[in-house]
Amino acid sequence: MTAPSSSTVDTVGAIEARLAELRCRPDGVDAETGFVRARTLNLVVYAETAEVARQAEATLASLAQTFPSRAVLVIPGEEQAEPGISAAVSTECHRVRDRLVCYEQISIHTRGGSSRHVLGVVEPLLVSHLPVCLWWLADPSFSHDAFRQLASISQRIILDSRGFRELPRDFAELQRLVQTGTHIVDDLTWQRLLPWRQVMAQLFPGEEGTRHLAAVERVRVECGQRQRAEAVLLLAWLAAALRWDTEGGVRCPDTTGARDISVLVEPTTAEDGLRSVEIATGPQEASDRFVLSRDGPEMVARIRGSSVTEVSRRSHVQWPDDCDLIQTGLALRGGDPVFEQALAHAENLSVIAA
Amino acid sequence: MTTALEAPLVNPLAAGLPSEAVPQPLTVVIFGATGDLSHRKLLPALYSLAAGHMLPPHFAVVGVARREQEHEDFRSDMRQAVGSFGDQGLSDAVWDSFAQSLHFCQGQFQDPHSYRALKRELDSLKERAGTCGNVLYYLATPPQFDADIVENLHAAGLLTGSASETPWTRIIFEKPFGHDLDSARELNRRIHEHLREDQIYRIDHYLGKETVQNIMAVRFANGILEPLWSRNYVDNIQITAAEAIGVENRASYYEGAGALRDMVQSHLLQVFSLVAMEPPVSWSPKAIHDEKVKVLQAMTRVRGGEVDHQAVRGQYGPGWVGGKPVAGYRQEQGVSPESNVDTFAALKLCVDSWRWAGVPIYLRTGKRLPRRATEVTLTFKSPPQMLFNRFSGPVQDDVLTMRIQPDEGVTLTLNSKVPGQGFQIQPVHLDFLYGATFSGHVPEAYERLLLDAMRGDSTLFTRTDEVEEGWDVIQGILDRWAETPVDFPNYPAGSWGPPASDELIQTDGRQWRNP
Repeated sequence: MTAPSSSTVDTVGAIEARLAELRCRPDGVDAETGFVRARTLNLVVYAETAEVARQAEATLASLAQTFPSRAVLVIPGEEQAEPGISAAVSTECHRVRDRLVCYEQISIHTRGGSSRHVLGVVEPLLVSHLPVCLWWLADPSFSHDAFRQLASISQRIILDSRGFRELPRDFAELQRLVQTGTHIVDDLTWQRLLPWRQVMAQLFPGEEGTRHLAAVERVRVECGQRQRAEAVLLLAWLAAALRWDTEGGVRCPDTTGARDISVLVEPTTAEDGLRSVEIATGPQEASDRFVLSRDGPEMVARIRGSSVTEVSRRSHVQWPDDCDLIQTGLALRGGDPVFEQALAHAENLSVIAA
Repeated sequence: MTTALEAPLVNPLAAGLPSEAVPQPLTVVIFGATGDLSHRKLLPALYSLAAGHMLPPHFAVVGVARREQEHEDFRSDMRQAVGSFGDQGLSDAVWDSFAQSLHFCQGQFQDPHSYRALKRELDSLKERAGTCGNVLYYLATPPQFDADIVENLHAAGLLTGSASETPWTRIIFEKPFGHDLDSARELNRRIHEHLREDQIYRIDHYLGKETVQNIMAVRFANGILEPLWSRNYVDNIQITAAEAIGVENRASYYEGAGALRDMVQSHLLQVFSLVAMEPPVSWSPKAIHDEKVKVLQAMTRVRGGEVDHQAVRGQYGPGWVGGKPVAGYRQEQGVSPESNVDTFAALKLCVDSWRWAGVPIYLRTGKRLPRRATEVTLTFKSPPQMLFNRFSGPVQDDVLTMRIQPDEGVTLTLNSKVPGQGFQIQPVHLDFLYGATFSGHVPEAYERLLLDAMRGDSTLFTRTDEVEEGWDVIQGILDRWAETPVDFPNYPAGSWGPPASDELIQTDGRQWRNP
């Protein structure tokens, strides 16, 4: 990876001129070195603070390996200041065999009224005919001016429900956003659940597995206190997949009527999200238990009980970072109907599993 | 909220996952478990699947081999193999968990008693490991044992069930599947006495390569190419599978096979059938196999004296590869000093179909060529009028290259104006490099194929009629080569084969496209 180069400019016209210069020869790349400019999308990032923006930049650099983009990073500044912008344009290159693959990043600090009119700053800088993806790294208030403007030019919105603090309300807002159907919405927390969902599905193969799933009585999830949204989404996924009713309580409709299911989220002091999930079938005294737990970089799957063959398996999990999570979402061309079905239960389960 | 009772999915938790079809509980039985293939490919692939949580919790492996050893010795041997040949490193905790699934059963492949011992082990695992009686057999054994193993499995009551009903039984056969058309038919006849076609998985590891599967993606996910993909616009198709290595430690096998049998009948014809097939009516194994078979059926059969004009064989002599001197084939360990086995083959074939009639297909493979490279090129016809000849001389034809290995990717070579006052034309490359666009773990071909067989997906395996048609395409060449003398060696190691290979294509006014 070559060091990024940049210089500061203060008008959109100057940004465009700088981009034109870099198109011919990225900074730091000598005339003899072959390079490829690669762009598969426009990625607009709205970061509410400079610190958040710095973290996002690191993710963008990794993301460029698989989804080289024109990245436009917007960092809103002092509301009371004179309107204006200050922008740095840079190229970053990584080596693929004998050539460099380069992408462009534009970091824009907005001030005063310019922060409320970001659309006019961002739109001229987008590469035409490429999809636009908004990565929203701020409060999930979807009526925010900047959110509305940037969403209006985006086909895909990436956000992270791990940051949700007011759970029933925030999930309700997110569901409304998804229901409008105007955008594909990727929730990084949903993507974070993928290894759990994958291993969980393997615990219930074939007809035997279906029989166990139809007999679930209790679900217990251990999760870091600050990442409760993750536990709620996992329960919501189970509820949607197993067709549970979550209105006022969790019930499984079956041929003999509705059966209550106990769901519980137990907070832990850990800071890395889900710690374990236990699904129990049958009455307490003779139940079969299907347990997944995280142990460092590994996942441990255990099946215990009187009517199952007991087993314990350990597998290695590449716990995804933000870059991996965004890639997973971007690799899906359309929305994720399983996520949308789960989201329909998230607001209710935020209350029930409290 | 959903309140109505609807028919549930088989596994509702698998919906929307990248691999929706989770394998059912099963035992994988590997015949030839202490051999080279098991060490280098099978166990590393199984470990990688286990480490990547792609295997069901109720899972077991039984290694069968002639050597006597305890379960623990087998585990220790396999741990070494995974450490040496695996591509993802070895985690102690994950290995310990995986190793619990590994079991060993000593046995002679032709001894019925051995199969009774195997049955006892499988019955026991069904209870102890909860494998539900599902078994996937992998014959990593010399091909002469294939039919005997199937017959012995049948006699011991180990081929119960079908390919899909629980408990199911499936068998993976390694290549080569037969030695020629007659032996392939005989082998098919013998195994079909005890197995249905949907229980038979004939492996061709080339089909497990991402880049080979990408041939179908490039063709059928891009509307822009379909109108060009025919005799109307394609001048010729070339497939080159070049190896820089020699026969290595495979002399005992290779002496009975040669390049035509080893590479053309299987890998090259499989790759070509993907390039030339019609779009399947659906993404089902049957629909894809049907279209591949039609291509093979439509390929011209070269017989008798025609072979001398349409096929070239070669054997490498001493030479230089990668700046180092290397021995000739006849000097390799395990090779007869008088061996007349072909280490190089180049063919010109045709497909008598509506789409491809008149388009020559050039296939070429060899050992000790200048570099390792496998690629498919489609050269397009020239424009009807050359407007720029007086500025630039003849311009190159447009070429689409699909690189299977290494530098995996796709390149389209087009002509472009050189900037300046004149009107010079120069070829330029529009390049897609896998490595520059996608990162992350690319599964080894054996990982992909083992998992597909566990799931019951035979798309990337070859069907009875595909194998037999493949043999039929080259049978006339095999027969002719068996009856005519050769003057080997006829190319030095490190060259692109014998001069006759160049003459084969130059006669048509064309050139090989060297990778």
